[in-house]
Amino acid sequence: MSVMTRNKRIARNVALYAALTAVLLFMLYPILLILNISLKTYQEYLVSPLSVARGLRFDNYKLVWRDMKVLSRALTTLWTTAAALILNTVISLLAAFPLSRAHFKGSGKVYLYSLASMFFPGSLVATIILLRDALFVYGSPPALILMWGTGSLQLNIFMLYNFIKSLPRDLDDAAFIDGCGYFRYIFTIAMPLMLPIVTTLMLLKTIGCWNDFLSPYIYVLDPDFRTLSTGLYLFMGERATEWNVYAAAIFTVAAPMIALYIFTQRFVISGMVSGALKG
Amino acid sequence: MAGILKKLKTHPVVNPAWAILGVLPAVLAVTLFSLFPAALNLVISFTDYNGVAAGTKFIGFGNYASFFTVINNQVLPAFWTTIKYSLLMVVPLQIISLGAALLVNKGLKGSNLFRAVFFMPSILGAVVICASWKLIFDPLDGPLARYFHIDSAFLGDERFALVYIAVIALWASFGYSMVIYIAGLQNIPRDYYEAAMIDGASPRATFFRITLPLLKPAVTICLWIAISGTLGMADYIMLTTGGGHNTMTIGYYIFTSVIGNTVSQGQSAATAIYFFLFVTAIMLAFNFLMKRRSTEL
Repeated sequence: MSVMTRNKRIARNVALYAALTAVLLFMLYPILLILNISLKTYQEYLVSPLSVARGLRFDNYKLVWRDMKVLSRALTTLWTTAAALILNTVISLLAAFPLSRAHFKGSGKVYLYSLASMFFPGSLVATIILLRDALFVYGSPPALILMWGTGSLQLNIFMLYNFIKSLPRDLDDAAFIDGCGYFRYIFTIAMPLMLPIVTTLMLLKTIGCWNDFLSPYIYVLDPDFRTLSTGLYLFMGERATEWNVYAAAIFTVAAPMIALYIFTQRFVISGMVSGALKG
Repeated sequence: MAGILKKLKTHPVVNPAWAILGVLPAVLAVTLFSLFPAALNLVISFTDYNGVAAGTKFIGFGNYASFFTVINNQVLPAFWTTIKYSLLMVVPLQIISLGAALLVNKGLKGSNLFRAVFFMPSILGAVVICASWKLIFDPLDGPLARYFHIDSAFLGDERFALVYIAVIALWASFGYSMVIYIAGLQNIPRDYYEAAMIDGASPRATFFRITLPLLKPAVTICLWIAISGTLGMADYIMLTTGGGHNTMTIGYYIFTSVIGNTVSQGQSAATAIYFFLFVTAIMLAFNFLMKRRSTEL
């Protein structure tokens, strides 16, 4: 009997692995396809678009590097993202701590207000008016930094709020009684303890900014300050027929995120999903 | 110490002024970037505003009335397309992601690799995803045309373009729901399955009597994400068909009308209000249904 069940189990596992591997290939196929095409010459692509590339030729990548202005756009992406990250993290940390500890009267209502604002209808018309006629930043990188820096603030406050609840209160009381300043406490004592969640939130924000092509497209009009994703979108129009070049452009933009994901997948997955699970 | 502090209404050591000062930037940001645009949008929807404040007049419900007549008959079909897209996505997404979750959750060696790869599209941008899939759906040089000899215009097909977009979105988003389902599956106590096995329950009965009912919280979350996500979808349309071939959704319609200035901004604002009411009505109906179902169980 035990032999029977063992054989059955092996058969079951083989079937499971076969199914999982089929899905795995289906998930990887689009990436492998563009990688393969990106290594072909235009002639090669025209004659046999799907055959395996004849060798590792990086000519298309050189073209993309130059024509998509990869360096300048990567730099724009990096510094706008960094500025947005700082804005986002500082604002949400400063708010989450007093709210979570209920350090002032009415903090519960303020917390509710900040969460409820997630459900206010967004308005492209009104946001552009706000950025253009009141803040005078529309069309330039500060507009993008403001939008990224204040976007997903609600989710961040929510996540930090819950995390702070799990930190011991006695620690802050002891520090305050010893005369530690309020903000110094948040940034030098509480934040190091919150490093796991803070870095996860920053990681998610970085991925979000890198991939966001719409916000830079809408809010930044100066062509010198385009991000990589927006550059990739516009490049699609310029190189509509040269798929071998365009595939190299796609892979150039995707590769850093894939590399980042390989090393941080555990945090990325749990971070992205825990917001949904707690809400 | 903590106990005493809890009983006091205000904190004895912390000056509430500092706490309020800390919260201020967030309240300001939320008010400026969430509340204010929403309110301003409502005001604009009652005007004929078109980019210049001078000479703008209040026209009452004019934009709301002309919504049904003026806008070249594009808006109402866009609502219909949005509903069709949502229907195409929501249920298949649950079946695929729950199926994948069940496979990955069997505790096989290498499960983590499968989970990570299935989730991977969530970290790829919409441009990367749609551009890659445009290659797959290429009617001449794509693998579907070359290997499977499928003779179709795919994303250029008047009848089925929306279906192909849904295929892309399913590929891109099932991993996310899958992870939520895996978390849900792991929350079900093992004892239930042992008890079912001792009672000789078939795998089918175990799934429908134990797994599915106990997964209800995860199902609710995934349905919520799928419905709210599909109703507002604009980027995939923009990146695949540009709204052509009967794929114009309401989210993308509003985007093009604002960016392209095709109608007055007052009109766009009114359309956004209709859209908000549409989404709110569906989400409220969804909540009502899920609550009623849960009292029945």
